[in-house]
Amino acid sequence: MTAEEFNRVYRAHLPEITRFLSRRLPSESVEDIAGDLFEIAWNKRSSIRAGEELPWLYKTARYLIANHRRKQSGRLAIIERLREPVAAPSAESVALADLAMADAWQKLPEKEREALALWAIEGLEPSDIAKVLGQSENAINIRLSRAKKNLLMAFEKTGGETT
Amino acid sequence: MEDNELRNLLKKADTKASLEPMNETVVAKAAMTQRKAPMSYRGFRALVGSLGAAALVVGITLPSALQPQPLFELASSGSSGRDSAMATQESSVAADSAMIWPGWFEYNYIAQGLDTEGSSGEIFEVRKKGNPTQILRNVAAVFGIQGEPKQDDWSTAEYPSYSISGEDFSISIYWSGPGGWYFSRWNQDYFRGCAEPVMEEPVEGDGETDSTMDESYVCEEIKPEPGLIPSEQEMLSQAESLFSTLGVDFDRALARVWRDDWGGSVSMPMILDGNAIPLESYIGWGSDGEVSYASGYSVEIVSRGNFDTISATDAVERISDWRWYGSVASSYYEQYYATTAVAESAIERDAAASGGEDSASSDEPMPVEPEQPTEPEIVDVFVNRSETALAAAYDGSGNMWLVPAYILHNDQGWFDVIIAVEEGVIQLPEPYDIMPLNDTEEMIMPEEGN
Repeated sequence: MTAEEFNRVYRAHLPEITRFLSRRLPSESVEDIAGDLFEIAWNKRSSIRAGEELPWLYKTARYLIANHRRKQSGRLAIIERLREPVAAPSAESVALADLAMADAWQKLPEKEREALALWAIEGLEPSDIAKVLGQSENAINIRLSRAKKNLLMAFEKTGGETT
Repeated sequence: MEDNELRNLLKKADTKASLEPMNETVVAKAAMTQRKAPMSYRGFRALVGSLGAAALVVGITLPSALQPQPLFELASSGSSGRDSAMATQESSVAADSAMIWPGWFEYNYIAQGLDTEGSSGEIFEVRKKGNPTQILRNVAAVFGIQGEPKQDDWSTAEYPSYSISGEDFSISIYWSGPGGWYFSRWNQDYFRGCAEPVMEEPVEGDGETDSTMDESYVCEEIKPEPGLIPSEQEMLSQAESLFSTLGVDFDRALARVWRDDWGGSVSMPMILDGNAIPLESYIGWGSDGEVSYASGYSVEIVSRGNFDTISATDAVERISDWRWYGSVASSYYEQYYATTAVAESAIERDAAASGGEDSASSDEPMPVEPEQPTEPEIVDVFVNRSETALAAAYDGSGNMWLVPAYILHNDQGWFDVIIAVEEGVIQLPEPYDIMPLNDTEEMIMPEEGN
C-alpha cells in the first residue's frame, strides 16, 4: 500500500475515529492519540486486511486509550480497581445527553456497555464488534442481547420512556 | 422496544454525534516514514506547562531548601475543563452515579471532629519484577496454553505490551505501572444457544439497512448450569494451587470468594505489613466450570522511607483538588457498595411499605432540561470519620507508588481517598482550573457545534 493509498483509505475513517476518540478522551488528547493510531496503522498496513481497517482502528484505539488512561493520575486507578479484570482494558465511558439513559447506561456491566456502544453509537455490526473485542461473533451476539435487555430494564426503572 | 428504536435512542443521546472530523493531515503525517513529530503548538504549550509545574514545586520547596527533592512526580491528568470536572467526580466513589453535566452540584467539604495532629508514614515504590515475555510463558504454561508472546500492535517503548492469542484465549501483559498480566479464555461451546445469524443481503443505496439488520440476532435463552461451577471451597482450593504456581502469596483468610449460577471468582489482595494494598490477583470461573479469566502482577515493593503526614482535618482541604487523590484496595470499595446496597434495599422496602403514590413519585426523573444552563447547587458535605491506608498513586512515567493516605468518610455516605504526605514530598502536576459554570457554555451544553 502506497502512502497515497493509505491516505485515501484511512482518511475515509477520520469522522468515525474522531468521534470514537472524542467520546473517550479529553478533547486535547484526541489528536495526539489519533496521530499515534494512524502511525501504527501505517507501520502495520501490510498486516491489516483490506476492508477491515475500521475494526482494526477501533481495536487498536481501545488499547491506546487504555495506555493513555494508565498514564493519567491515580484517580483513574479507582475506577480500574472496581472493574472486573478482562483480557484487555476497556475504554468505555461515553457521555450520554439523555439523563435517564445515562443513568441506565452506568448500571450496565462494563463489558455490556462496551459492546453496546460499538453497536449503537459507533454503528458496528456484531461481526465487526467481534473483531474489535477479539471475541467470537456468537459471544458478541449473546452479550449484545443481554446488554439491550439490561439497558431497557434499567432505563424503564430510571424513568425513561421507551415508547 | 425494537432494536432499531434502542439504537436510535442511544444515537440521539450521543453528545459527539455531530462532531466535525479532525484535520486530515493526521493521516497524511502518519504515512511519512519515521515520523518524528515536530514540537507542535500543543507540545510547546505542554513544555511551558511543565516548566510552570516545576516552578510551582520550586516555590513550595525553596523555603525549606535543605529538604530532599520530591520523591516522585504524580502523573498529570491531561484533562481540563469539563473532562477534568467529570474525572474529579469519577475519582470519588460516588462516580457510579456519574452526572453528565458537571457543575450541577458543587461540594463544600467541612471537617467535623477529625484528628488535627499530623503523623508519619512509609512510602513504597512498586517495581516491576522479571521479564514480561517470560512471565507470559509462565502464565501460559499454568493454564495449558500453547504459543509464543508477540509484541502488540499498540505496544510502544513507553508502554510495552505483549500477548499470546488464540481462537478462544488471550494472555496479555502490560509492562508499565505494576506490570499486570491478564488471562482470558472463552468456551465456544458455551455459545451453542446462539444460532448463526441470518443476514439479509444489503440493498444498494438503502441507507436504512444497518438499522434493521440486527433483528435476526436473537439468541436462544441460555439456562445456567450451576452444578458445573466449583463450590466456594473448591474454588478456594483451586485458587490456592494456581496462585501458588503463579507465585502469588495466598492466604485463605484474606481471599474473597464470589459465586452465582453463572460463574465465580476468587480474589487475593497483596498484603503489606498486614494490610491489603490496591494490587489484587483474580481467578474466575465461567458457567462451564472452567477457569475463564485470571490476572495478577509481577512486582516487588521497595520502601523509600518514612515521611511526615498532614492531619486528617487538613486532608479534607485536599478533597477539592483531584491531584491528591489515590486509590485503595478494592475491599474498601466493596464495603461501601455493600453498605449502599443494604441502604438502597431498605429505602425500596420503606417505599414499597408506604404505598404506591409516594414511591412512584420518587422514581420520577428530575425535572431538569439538560439543554439549559443550570446554576450549580452548593452542597455542604461533612467529613466525619477518617482511617489511614496505603493508597496507590502513579508518577508521570506510569510507575506505581504506595503512599500514606486518609480514607475520609462523609455524611453523604461515600468517601474519598486523599494522599496524606506533606507538600513537597511528592511533586504535583500542574493544577488545572475548572472553569466556573457560567463562564463556559462548553461545559454544560451538548457538543453541537463545538
